[in-house]
Amino acid sequence: MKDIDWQYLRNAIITAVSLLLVSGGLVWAMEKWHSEVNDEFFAQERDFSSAKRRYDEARRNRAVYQQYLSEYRHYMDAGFIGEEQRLSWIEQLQELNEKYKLASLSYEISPQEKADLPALNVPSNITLNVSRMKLEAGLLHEGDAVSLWSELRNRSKGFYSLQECTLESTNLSRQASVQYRPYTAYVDMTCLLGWYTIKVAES
Amino acid sequence: MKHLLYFGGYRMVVLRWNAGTFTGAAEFEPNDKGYAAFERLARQEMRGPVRLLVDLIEEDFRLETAPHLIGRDRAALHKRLINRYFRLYPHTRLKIQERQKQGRRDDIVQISALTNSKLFEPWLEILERARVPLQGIYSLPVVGEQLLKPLGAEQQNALVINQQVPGSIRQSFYARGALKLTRLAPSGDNAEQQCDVIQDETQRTVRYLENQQYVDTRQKLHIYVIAPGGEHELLQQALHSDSRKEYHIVDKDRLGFDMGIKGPVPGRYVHWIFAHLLLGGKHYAPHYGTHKDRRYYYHFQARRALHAAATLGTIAAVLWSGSLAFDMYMLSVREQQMRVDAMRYTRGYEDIVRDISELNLDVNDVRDVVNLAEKLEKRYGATPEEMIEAVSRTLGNHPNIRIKNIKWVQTHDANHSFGETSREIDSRTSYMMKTGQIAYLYRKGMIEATVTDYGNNPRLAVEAVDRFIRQLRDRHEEYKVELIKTPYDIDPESRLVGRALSDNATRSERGADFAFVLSREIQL
Repeated sequence: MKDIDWQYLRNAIITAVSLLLVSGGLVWAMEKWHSEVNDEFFAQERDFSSAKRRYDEARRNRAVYQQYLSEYRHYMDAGFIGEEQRLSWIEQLQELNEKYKLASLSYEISPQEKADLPALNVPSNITLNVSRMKLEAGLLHEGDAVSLWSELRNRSKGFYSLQECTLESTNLSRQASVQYRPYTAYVDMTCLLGWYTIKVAES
Repeated sequence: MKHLLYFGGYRMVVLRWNAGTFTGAAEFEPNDKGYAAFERLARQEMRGPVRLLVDLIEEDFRLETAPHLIGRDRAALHKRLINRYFRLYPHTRLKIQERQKQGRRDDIVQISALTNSKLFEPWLEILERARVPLQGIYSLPVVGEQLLKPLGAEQQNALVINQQVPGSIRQSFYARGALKLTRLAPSGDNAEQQCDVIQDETQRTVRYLENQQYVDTRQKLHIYVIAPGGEHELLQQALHSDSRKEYHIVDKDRLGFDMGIKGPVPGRYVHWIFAHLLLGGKHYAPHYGTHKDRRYYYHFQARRALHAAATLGTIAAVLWSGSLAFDMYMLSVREQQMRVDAMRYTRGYEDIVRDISELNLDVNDVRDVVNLAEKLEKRYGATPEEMIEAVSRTLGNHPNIRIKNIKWVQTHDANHSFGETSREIDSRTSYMMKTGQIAYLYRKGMIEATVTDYGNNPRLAVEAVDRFIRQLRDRHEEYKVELIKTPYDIDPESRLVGRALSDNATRSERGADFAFVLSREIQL
């Protein structure tokens, strides 16, 4: 070290150090500025991604709405969605009785309960309720039973599912041939069915 | 501007070199006045490294053979060799010229030293005082190895004769491109005297070389005499080639031209040519120079390194800053674009939300409700109608069969039975059903019917039932049809009870009852 002529190197050292300081300062300042610009960029990028994501989700939702809305409205109008409409069922039965001039038509409806159909995998945001109905009728023939089921399906509020049905010939039919006479029963019908309604939470 | 210092043993000559051309020379006497003038010049002009070219009698050369070693062993051996001959001298040099072709293939090394450094020490001290970076001390005869190529003498045994200062000529013998021998001989001041000296000296030198077996008598020695063009005629008259030697008279200006010196070589002396070799651009490692001699050269290098580092650092900083600036520009452009796009997406989102907000329902709920309703309808919406129709169609061909009762059920219970044989379920299927991986729905109807008008012939009744069941099965393969009660149970293992009716029995008494089950298994 004592061999070094610092005087000789002084200017070079000062110049080098100064330049390096200035360069270092320049790089530091630019890095800092760049970091700020970068932060702003990423913040804007996040906003952009968020806006795009919301928009895409809204588009998907709209597509889903468009796909399912008419069906949903149909089920609402059919009484499948919402509150049970027991009065409507009773009115419907009375109408059918008058129309087909049945010998008898009686019903027994049990309290509404939550339906237990594991095979359906009912989603957790939906409640599927069921009211059990026992329907007994005195019919002219088996064809009336078919008509009864069809009319109930098409015109009643709600959805019903037949669990079991028995059509039994009456004593009258065993004794004589079937003749059309209103309010006469040649076949006794006993059916067990479930009236289903769907409820969904409003958001 | 570059400077080359030439020292021939007495005065110092400073040669100036600029842009490939020598632009002048200055000579300094070895006295106070000369030293002072030299120091002034050094301080004023010599900013960059200088080289000192020496052409001294007091330079001693030895040739030795040494075992070919590597690494530290070689360094130790070389140090011993130098110490053997030149222990007391600070300016020494060792160079491995070549390896022997045969035998042990030892190295042939040349060891040399400047044996009278006091001659040039005063000048070196001035350089140190003036802080002139001395790159190194160069031996003229060693530099002369580079002359062989322009002379065309690289592979020859060549004796090169040249004059740098008045009163002496240098003879340097080169074999296979390497200096083997050199000496300075006194010379006259005019051309005629020169010729005589050259003639005598070359004779002497040739004999010496032959005696020392540097050259073979069968090999011709090429002697190159570098001299001004005006002296060539004289030299050609005086110097005659023979079987042992061949003279080549070389015009110094022509040689200089061939070497790239612009313009004629000044004066009659050829130290300019050696100076051109040193300053021509190619890098030469110094032949001599102690650490003290080269101290300011190291300082100069350090200063250059500092400047280079600072410059590189500044350039790197500027480039780096430039790239950052460009990146920032690009980021800001992209940011602006994203801002515009984000606003567009936000507006789009608001438009859509306005459109679909009427129901006040989550879209997933809507989808789930519809899917559930459709599933319910599809799976559980069936009525006995389909089955009754199937039976009715077949009954059309069997007017003597009458339906009495129909029982229909729709169930998940695999064990439910109207009396038909149960389906056998293997353990794997049973496990999958229990764990909910698969599920089945069973739709089945049990129909009680009776055969009439069979003429009191039980066989006819049985046949009628068989025909009916067979036809029902053939027409409706989607159902499994099983007869669970026949009109007459003719199984030997069964108990049979009935009434044997006469032809007078009433119609109602004449019905043969049977029952069958239609079933379908639907996998959900």
